[in-house]
Amino acid sequence: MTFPVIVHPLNGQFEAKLVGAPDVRVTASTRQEALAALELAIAERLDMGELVALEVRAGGLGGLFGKYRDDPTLREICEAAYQERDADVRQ
Amino acid sequence: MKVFDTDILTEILAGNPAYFERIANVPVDQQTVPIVAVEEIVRGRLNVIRQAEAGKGRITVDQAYTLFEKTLEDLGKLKVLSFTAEGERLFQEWREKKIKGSAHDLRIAASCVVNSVTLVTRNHRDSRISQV
Repeated sequence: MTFPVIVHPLNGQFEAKLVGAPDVRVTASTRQEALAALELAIAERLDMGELVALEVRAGGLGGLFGKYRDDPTLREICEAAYQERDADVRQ
Repeated sequence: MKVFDTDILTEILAGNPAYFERIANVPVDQQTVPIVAVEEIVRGRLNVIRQAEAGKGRITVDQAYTLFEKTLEDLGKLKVLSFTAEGERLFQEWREKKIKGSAHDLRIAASCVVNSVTLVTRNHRDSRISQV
């Protein structure tokens, strides 16, 4: 699992913070220490269930995938459309 | 650009896992559905309302209207492949050449040819269109 973070020098130290979550931030004397501390801070929030990975469905057809799985009429509608096409086949 | 025919669109809406990968591999801006497919689904929804009103449907009238409304909203989110005057000219040309196929199949095919896009449909349905 990866998260976008920002790390930058700040008042002679390094600050690392989680993008989109300004309260998840740490400071340390080196860049590596700041990243390691931020990793721990993120892990704690993951353990507590405060931070979760949410899969956002894509737009387009993917966003509609399975949206009508409980609709008992959808496939009948499709079948009727193709029966109509079959009946309409002309040379 | 990939154009998804009514049968594929139906399977996607119904959540058939066999079709998930097919759409997942096509970028959203490359996905489209023919206006004829939209027409078929909407027409089907209207028929379901009529059947429910006559007490012959599998669902109630309110359920039929809810699905109709939801369908209009969802289909409106999709990129639609239009059927234009150019498509109609090609359709008429094929009719004059006695190319076999239903009006809907040929209109979809004409839209695809005019726009140089690929139709994604079930194989056994293709046999209704010859020489296109």
